[in-house]
Formats: sequence, C-alpha cells, structure tokens
Amino acid sequence: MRRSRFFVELVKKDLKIEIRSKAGLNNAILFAFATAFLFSLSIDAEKFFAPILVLVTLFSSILACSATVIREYEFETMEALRASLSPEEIMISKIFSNFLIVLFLVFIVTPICYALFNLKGNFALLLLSLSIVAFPISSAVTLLSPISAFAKVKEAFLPAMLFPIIFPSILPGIKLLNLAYNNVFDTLSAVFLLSYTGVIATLSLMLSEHLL
Amino acid sequence: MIVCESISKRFGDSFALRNVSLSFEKSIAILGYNGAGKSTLAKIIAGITKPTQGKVSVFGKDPSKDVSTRKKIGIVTHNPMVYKELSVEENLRFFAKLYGIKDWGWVVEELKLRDKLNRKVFELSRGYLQRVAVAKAFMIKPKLLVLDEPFSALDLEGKEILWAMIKDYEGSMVFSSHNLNDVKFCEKFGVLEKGEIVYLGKDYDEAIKVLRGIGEEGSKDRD
Repeated sequence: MRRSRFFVELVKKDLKIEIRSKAGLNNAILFAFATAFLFSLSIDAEKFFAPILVLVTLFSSILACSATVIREYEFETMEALRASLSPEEIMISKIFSNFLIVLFLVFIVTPICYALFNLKGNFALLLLSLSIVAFPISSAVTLLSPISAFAKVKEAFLPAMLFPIIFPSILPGIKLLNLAYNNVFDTLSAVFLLSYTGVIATLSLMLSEHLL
Repeated sequence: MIVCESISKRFGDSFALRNVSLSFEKSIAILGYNGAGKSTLAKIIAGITKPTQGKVSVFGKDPSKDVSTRKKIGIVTHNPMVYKELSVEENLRFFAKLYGIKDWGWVVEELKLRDKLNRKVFELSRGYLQRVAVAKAFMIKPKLLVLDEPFSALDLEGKEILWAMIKDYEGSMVFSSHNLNDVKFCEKFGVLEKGEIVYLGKDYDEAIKVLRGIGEEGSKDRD
C-alpha cells in the first residue's frame, strides 16, 4: 500500500513537470509531425505506414521520455529521490511515467499519420496496437536514460544504444500494426511485445541499484 | 553513532576522497578548502552517494543500502535539490508524501515561507530557494542532519532562522561551512585536504591551525 502511494506521487510529479515544461513533448510532437509530413509526400505512405509509425513513435519517444530521467540528474533531484526511495521504486515509477508519456504521443501521432497518409483501415485497432508498441519503447528508453545522462553526447547516445535493445520488438510491432489496419488483432505479436516489456522492466529493476 | 571506515570515492581517474575514516556521536564539523571533498563526504554519509571503497554506518546500518536509514537523514547542500517547475508547496508536499509526513506546516511558518507557497521554485531568489531546501531537510525531523554550506545564499534573516533551528535540533549533525565561527559548537572537527583527512579531533583551535597551514601551503604552491 505504502509503495503504491510513492509510485502514484512520483508518476503524478513527473507528468506535472512534463506538462509544465513541455521541453520533451514539444520537440517530440514537432518531430513526429515533420517526419510524417515528409514521408506522406515522398513515398507510398499507405504501403509503408506501419514501419514509419513505429519509427516515428520510437524516435519521438526518445525525445520526450529521456528528459524525465536526465532532468533529475541535471538538477540533482535524483539525489533527493534516492534519499527517500529505493532505486527499484524510482525505476518502476519512471517506466510508468514514460509509458504514459509515450501513450500520449501515440494518441497524437496516430491521428496525424492517419490523416497525412490517407489511411482507411481500422483506426481504433491501430490506436490500440500502437499503444501496445508503446510498452517496450517506454521501458527500453527508461532503462538507458540514466546511462545517457552521463554521456558526453546524450542526443546521439540514446538512439544508438536503444536500437539494438528495441530491435526484437520492432518487427512484431510492424506486424501488429499491419494486421490491425486490416481489422485483425495479432495476439501473438501483442503477447510477444508485452513479454518483451516484462523482460526489459525486470532487467531495469535488477540493474536499478547500479543505474540510478 | 556514525562511523566511516576507510572511505574512498573516485570520479573517473581522480579521487574525491581517499581512505577517510571518522566517527562521531553528536556532531562533527568538516572543514576544508574548495575541492577538498567535503560535499562528497557529506553525500556519502547521507547515503545518496556510494563510496568506491569503504563502509559507512549510520545508527548501525549502511545508509546507501537501507532506505529506512536514509529517511532518517536530512540533508542541505548548496544545491537545493528541488523541482523548479513545481511551486514551493508542491515541492514540500511531494517530499512530505515520500517521507510519509503529514505535519509539515511548522517548517513553512518557521522559515517564513507562507507568502511564497504558491510561487514556482524558478521564480524564487537564491535565498528563498535555500530556505525551501532547509524546510525539506527539517520537516522530516531527522535523526542525522547533514549541512553542507547551509548558509550559502541565505540573507541575515534566513541565517538567524536557520541558527535558531540548529540550536533547537537534538539529533546528530555533520556540518561543513567556510565560515569557521559557524562550526565552533561541534564536538569534533575533521579537516580535509585533497580528499584526505589531515586532522581529526576535538580541538577547534588545532583544527583551524591545520586548516590555515593548508591554506598557506596552497598560497606558496600558487606563487
């Protein structure tokens, strides 16, 4: 009960700061819109919408989510958190905060892409499927953000390190979106993505003592 | 009882602390020039920074491994460690909830922060920012108080309030300050030079002598 209270407080605080600062979210939304717009003009977007949607979500999530962790180091508030919480409690709340931020992005990115790519498939199922893709993305970004906070080139470090870790979930994510567009929910891919999230989250918790 | 045994802390290739051992019951003043390792030692004792080597024991437990011990330690550093996007009240409420504290209104009154409660932290002057940091440390009613340059940025009124709070405080204390008069009341004194303890004892005058000696050596080196 006590743990859940800390968890809720931390998530509330992260979201409040993100909404007020808008530092990560503004960049992410701008990036998502610009990328989707350029792809809509240059290629047959309806054919390639699924990989584009996954990659746009992935890279805009990096912009939005890494800030929630990196900012804690920049202002030394991570030390204030460590003073009263275990690394596991901090890590799990960061994963959840980041998941909600990615989910928010998904709800913005999906309609933008749907309109720009002139898609006609099942929008609701597409939204649900991309929301499932948000799980491994948010947990992997959270896992690597504390390391990138100390990197000299933070902006380059995170995508470079993230790609090999997130790679196993990219193909099932694309498959999930392609089938969702055709009104089919790919349960196997969804289960794989959620299981992969579990693996990354467990790894994050096991390493949290050393990462944070 | 607070005990540090052979504490070393390395950042990359350089040592911030090297083989520091000390113990105290009530209060210790950590003295040293800039870069001597005072802040690093303060953070290690508070359990928020892990030593590269050595052991720390605060009331019998390692604070870096035990959250319940860390929760008994209040820390004030020159960096207030608060969220600039949140208001003063939101910051204090957030940390109070993390520590499971319901009654924290008294620190607001004591530090005269009532008028500033709704102000965002980034709108505050450096002095009021430090008062928020002091409020955050005292509201948990700590058993160990770690004060690293607590008077930095405080105006005269802020200093007087903090002095009154320190005088009323009954727990153990680690105190580091550049103003040597501030630390006179401590029961023990430790002088750090380049991460090493060069004096540890109860004699204030001797500690000051050692500290001044380091300063003169430093001046000669610079010349």
